[in-house]
Amino acid sequence: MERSSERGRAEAAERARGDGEPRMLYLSQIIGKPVHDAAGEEFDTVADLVIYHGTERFPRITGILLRGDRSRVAIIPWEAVAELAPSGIRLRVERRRLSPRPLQPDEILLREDILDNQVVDTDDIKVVRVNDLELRQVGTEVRVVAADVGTRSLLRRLGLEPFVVGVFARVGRPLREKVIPWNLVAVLGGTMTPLKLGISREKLKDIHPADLADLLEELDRDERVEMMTALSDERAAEVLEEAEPDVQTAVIQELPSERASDILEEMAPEEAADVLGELPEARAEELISLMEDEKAEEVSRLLKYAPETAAGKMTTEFIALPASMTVDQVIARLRETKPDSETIYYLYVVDEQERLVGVLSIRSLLTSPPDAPISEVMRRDVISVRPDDSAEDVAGVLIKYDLLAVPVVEESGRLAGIVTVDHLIDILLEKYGPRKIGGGVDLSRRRSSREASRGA
Amino acid sequence: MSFDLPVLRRATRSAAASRFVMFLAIMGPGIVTQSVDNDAGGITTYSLAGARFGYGLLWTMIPATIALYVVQEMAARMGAVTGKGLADLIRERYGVRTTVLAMLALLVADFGNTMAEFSGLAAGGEIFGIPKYVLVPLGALAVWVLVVKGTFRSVERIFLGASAFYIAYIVSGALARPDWGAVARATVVPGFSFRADYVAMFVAVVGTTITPWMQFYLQSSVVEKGITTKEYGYTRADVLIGSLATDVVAWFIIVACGATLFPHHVRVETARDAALALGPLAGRYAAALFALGMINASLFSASVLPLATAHYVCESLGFEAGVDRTMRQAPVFYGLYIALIVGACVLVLLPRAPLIQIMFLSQVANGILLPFILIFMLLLVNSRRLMGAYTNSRAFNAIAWVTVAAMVVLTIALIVAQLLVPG
Repeated sequence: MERSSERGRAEAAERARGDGEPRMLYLSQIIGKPVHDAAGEEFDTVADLVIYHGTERFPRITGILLRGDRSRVAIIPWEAVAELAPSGIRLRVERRRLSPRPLQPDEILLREDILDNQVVDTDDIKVVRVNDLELRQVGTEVRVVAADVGTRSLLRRLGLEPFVVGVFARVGRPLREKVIPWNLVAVLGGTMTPLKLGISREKLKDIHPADLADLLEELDRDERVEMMTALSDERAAEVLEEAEPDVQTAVIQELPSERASDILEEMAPEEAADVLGELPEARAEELISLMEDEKAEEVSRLLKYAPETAAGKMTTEFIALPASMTVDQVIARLRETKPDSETIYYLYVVDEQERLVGVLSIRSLLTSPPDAPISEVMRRDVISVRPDDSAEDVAGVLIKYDLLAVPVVEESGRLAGIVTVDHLIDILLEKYGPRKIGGGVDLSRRRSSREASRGA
Repeated sequence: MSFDLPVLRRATRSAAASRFVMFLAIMGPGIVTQSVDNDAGGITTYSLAGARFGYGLLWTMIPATIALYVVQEMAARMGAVTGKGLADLIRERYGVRTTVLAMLALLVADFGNTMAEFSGLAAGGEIFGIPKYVLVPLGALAVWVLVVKGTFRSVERIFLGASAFYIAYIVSGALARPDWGAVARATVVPGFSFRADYVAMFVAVVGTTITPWMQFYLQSSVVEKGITTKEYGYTRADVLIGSLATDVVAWFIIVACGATLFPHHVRVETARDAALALGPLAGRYAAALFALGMINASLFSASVLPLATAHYVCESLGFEAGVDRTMRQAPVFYGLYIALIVGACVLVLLPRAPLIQIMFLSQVANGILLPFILIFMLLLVNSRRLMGAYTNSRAFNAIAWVTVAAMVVLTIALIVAQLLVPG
């Protein structure tokens, strides 16, 4: 008695979900179901459904594949289908009048390529395994509307859903469906057509590079390659900078040389050098030779330093000014060159031999008279480190003097580069392990954006 | 692959040397997997084989090595070509039901295996007079710390170092002063007896070399290491060396027990008996080395097995997994991992636990699972769409199918034999 009433409630909930809307179907219900032709003859079963993987938010089904077709290339066009129901498929033509066609480059097979495979949830920014697909009939068309990824859909496929859901409901912790609306799903891997890459780029475009780097770690090799191929060089470089060292190496190894060197070129020189330092020498040399000369030279120079020293951690992108400039001129120069955020904390003043003579903070620049020469405003007793100082000592200096960056000065007094606080965090992470800090941040904004897109 | 490769490469200029250094960077998966294969259960089986039948089963080491190599090479190749683990491939190809059944069987089998490791640890400790109530919880804690606090790579390097400890058995074998002529003859000349206990032991020796979980483990570690078809040649060498090393160790265990225990007709039932009996016959050091080897093997396998099992189950069923997640992010993963370790540990420590029956059950689960896993592997490795040009050659397929058929028959025989003669 109790059980059946539970089931009744589950069914009511099921109906409510589709309330006022067209019928909902699950892919798992349809696979293996009989196919009848117009004459009512049952002649085969459903092996797969085909969608056109285009720019539509909810792609429509364009054909079916029959179990009897062992070569898996003959698609029965959707126009020949009269009805798609949980009980099976009815065709509007007779069996012998069917004219199957081959699979098109931008079509994908739902069961083969998506069901049971991994996709990216672009909202929660996670790699998930698809347990089922929700289809919805709209007029004569059937569209994919969502991917089911939760335990409940797993149980449904095992035929255990009513029972287990009932048990959980009784103990007061009902099992919820975990559904990702299809417009938030990115399908990576498989053949990379220009259209498919374009769609992947579009779907990944709002995700922060640091989050993409996390995804990169979870993806399989082919999916990684597609993700990196879909992104622009600059974005791919940002993502790679954020990734773990072993992922960086793996990705650079898997990409074609041209593309790999383009991405390395866009990375900060010290980051590129770190990646190249982990590669086999022949491969590193090949990639450096493909980079533009200036960048290649800089990276090669950085590669000579041991990684755990000040020089190994420094960036060579910093602002160096001659002492003769005035405050006004400096501000005009900054406006013009628009330097990166991490290098603008301090401005370094150098002589003709590139020797460090002073440092200028943005604050002192803004609070000084416009026509004052910077040699009068700058601090001359600059705290600096040597290229071969250990990374930990550098971290110690940054912490002790509360600096945002510390210059690395050679024996001769030449300014070689700077180590910024961003690198300090990397140094600390390497020492204490990434797990301790921010292992998994769930941003609340993601939840709300999902709610919004569901309501829409 | 961050094995300080470039620095090493710069130090070595010749092509041969750089190839060797490349191999050092790639090696690991094959050798580690197969070292874990010589776990407490394996060592026990080989000891008993030597004690009961002398050198009578030595010849099985050659076919066992071939079978081991053939099966493991396929797993490694699938990992390098597809970039995916075996559990993932099974899920993507054969769907939810098959995967759930396979994973349930794997869980049961590996629970038993984990238990076998902890009882191996207990046995090794008792030889030195350390009570199991101290050593087993300590061991479980060590495993937990090593795995949860270390990264996968440092763990793998520790294991690689631990593999060297198997030399203990080679030394034990040499200390036992066998008649090398007789040993050599027995290795190459097959002899067979149809006595029921010989058949049972034969099946056990061959059956312990190929297990379901090691296919999953090897393939995943190849993927984890980022090995592609470009570096695959080195991995094949790694698998070959691993297969050889594993069976050389097994061979020495049989030799050690065959040279000492067999002529004196010492009846041994466990590896502990074997180690204790070795003392007076082959010297104190041989016995101590034997016991140390046992403790090392048990700890080594206990670190790998439960973690790997929790990973495959979660990844193939779509639950979050990995030691870099928190408990709240990956509850199923940690739940399984803890259940395997704590459950096995507690059962081993229970004063009157039906250990033999539970281990038997896990043997049966292993046995039922193995044919399916091997057949899945053969179907997957021969799928053109998955493997492209890297499917099995016709000759390799012939060897592989014969191996699989033989393994299936032997495993069924093992289960039947154990049903008829329990214990």
